[in-house]
Amino acid sequence: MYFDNAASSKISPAVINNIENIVNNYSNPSSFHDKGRELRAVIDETRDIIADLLKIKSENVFFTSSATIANYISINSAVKLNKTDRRHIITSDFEHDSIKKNLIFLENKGYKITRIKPVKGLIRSEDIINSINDDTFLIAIMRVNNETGSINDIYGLKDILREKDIKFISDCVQAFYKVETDINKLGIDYYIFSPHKIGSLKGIGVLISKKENLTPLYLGGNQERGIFSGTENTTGIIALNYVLKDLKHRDLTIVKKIKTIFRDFILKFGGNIIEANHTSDYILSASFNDIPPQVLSNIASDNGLYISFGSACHSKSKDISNSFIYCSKDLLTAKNAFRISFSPYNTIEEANRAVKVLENGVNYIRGIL
Amino acid sequence: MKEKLLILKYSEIALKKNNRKFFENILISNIHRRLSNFDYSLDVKFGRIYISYHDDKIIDILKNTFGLIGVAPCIKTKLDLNLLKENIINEIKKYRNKQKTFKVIVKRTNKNFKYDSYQIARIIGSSVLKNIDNIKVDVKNPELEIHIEVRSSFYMYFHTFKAVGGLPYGSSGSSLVLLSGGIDSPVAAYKMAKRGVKISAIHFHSYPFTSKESIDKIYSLKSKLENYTRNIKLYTANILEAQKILKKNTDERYFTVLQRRLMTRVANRIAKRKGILSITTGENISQVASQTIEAINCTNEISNIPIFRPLITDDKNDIINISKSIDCYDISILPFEDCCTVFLPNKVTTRPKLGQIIYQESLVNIEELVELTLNTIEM
Repeated sequence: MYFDNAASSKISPAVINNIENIVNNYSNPSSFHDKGRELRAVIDETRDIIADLLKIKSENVFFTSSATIANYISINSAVKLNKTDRRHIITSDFEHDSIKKNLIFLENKGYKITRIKPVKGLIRSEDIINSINDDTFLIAIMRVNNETGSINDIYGLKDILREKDIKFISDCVQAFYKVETDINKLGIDYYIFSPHKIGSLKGIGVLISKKENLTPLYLGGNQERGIFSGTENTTGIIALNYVLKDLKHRDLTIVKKIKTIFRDFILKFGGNIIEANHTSDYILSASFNDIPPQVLSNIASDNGLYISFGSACHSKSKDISNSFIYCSKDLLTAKNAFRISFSPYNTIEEANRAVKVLENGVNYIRGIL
Repeated sequence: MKEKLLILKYSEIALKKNNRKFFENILISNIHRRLSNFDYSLDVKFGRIYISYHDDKIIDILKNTFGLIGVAPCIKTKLDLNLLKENIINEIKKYRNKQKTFKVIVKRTNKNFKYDSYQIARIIGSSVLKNIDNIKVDVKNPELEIHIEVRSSFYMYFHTFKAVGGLPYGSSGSSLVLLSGGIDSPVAAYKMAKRGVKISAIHFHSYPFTSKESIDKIYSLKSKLENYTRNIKLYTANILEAQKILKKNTDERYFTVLQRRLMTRVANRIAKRKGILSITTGENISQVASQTIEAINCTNEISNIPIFRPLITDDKNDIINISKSIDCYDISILPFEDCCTVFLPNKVTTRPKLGQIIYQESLVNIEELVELTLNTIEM
């Protein structure tokens, strides 16, 4: 019973069933012989599938080794290519570390950072617009929060971004193939996602951007048009190819049904749902005021149910994640938070069993405390 | 490759009269065991242990061997004074680091050698003065000490690395340490081991109310302690069922002491079963509520074997320093709950009276709690 798919998804059956085709790719896609060209064709086809899906040009799809490095390339490019003397960056107060920490680094070097606080759990475009000033050159706001699943409202920014020549990075790791995100309409300059969150393999990230908005971190064999040199992770790319083709025919509405099963259970057992007005179907955060999440985690894990639990039991408020605090009605709710996250590869039967495990766990703990 | 030689110096074993052989034998067998992965040979002569070796890692292992106070890398030369002079001059040239004064210290065990200690010192001293620039004799505060031991050969060394001291591990009985995972109990275990006591350990947890990581942490601490000891047998006991019963049936103000007494009872049973002679805890007067003398009286009272508390009067800083020196500190401060904190009551009596405690225990079946806990033991 695996419900930690936001951390890393269950592997798609399309990968498992084609594992030999995926792994057995020994040639180098830069080689000119047939074996190399074959592999080059698969890479290009995968680029096309992604481009098709996101309604962008294939040449704007760059494969990297993780979403973290794709985020970093984006920030680094936006900063290096900023030839003006503007130094103001707008971000949210609950970004992933790969954005957050790199912005703190820039802040220490003299950049000004505005961190927008979510209202009722999510970032509103009006607050972003109100924070823009003549010094602003970059905005970095995730589309879907990885802990609470809040869908940030980042529509309606495009015109002002173009007018003021502001670049827009959006970490879409929890959004890709899960929450509708129109790159063109939103005016996103850097869109980042991570294949292992949708059932593909780890070790690969994807960055969507225009070449002119990018600058490499280092030099090498000019793979990925020089933006991410190094032999391509062909295994990861072929797996992604299979996953994307499979997802096209898969019933994704099952995710919402599964979420409802957990949601109903939590409410029935006196728990709190931690959510904003707009929340991803793929993530459910909740807590019980009287249940230490670590203990529930131990019991769940002993019974083969894997769910993500917040920080350690004795964490003080400073250790509680901002995402939970912004979405919770009080500190205790945030402190006891846990996250259940879904994939289309989960089943209703699996969810029903998982809920039974949680029910037994909650009853057991309540019997003791 | 030239063979390297070490002189090992004993600690107070040397002072033991009739038992000296006993301690020495244990020390030697400990050294053999600790060096078993290395290429070396060991020789015992005239109350000294000599080790010829290749790998310098051996020195660190020996420095951490209980029963040794010093380890001196030395040069062995056959009984030929000219050769000795030559070797000493060469070694000084290699070893010397700005020292401007020296002294020759001679110990002559071989009374057949034709010169006495004083004469040897003079001969070597004048040779040093003649061959080494800018150096003079200072018998009071020499910067360089040239030690020469005259036995069936000459042994010459400059520097002795300090070793940990104590008594050979396994030479002084046995103890079962209550290992909580905090800073204190591993230090208590170390201090007992250093006194030659063979250590076993018991850890109480409340899984699933405590984490698996907190048990992993105990195993990490055990392996740090094993840098000094032999394999330590570790028992882990789940005290949760007993805690549940105590919590339901007794006054929460006494919970900590009642739990402590339960642990002591369980430890007594294990000790008896395994023939372990004592219990060791990291208790320290008044550090926490269960460690007031009143509370300690209450736990002490139910033990049939002595409970040793080697840290009882130590300052926390001193304990931390030892913890750091034995590499346990960084593990001990990892933030996993140990079982003492899970059921932490709101109110605690710091000065419990034995009568009150005995009354509280009459509200539950203590023997049942002990059995419940014993049944969970894993090792």
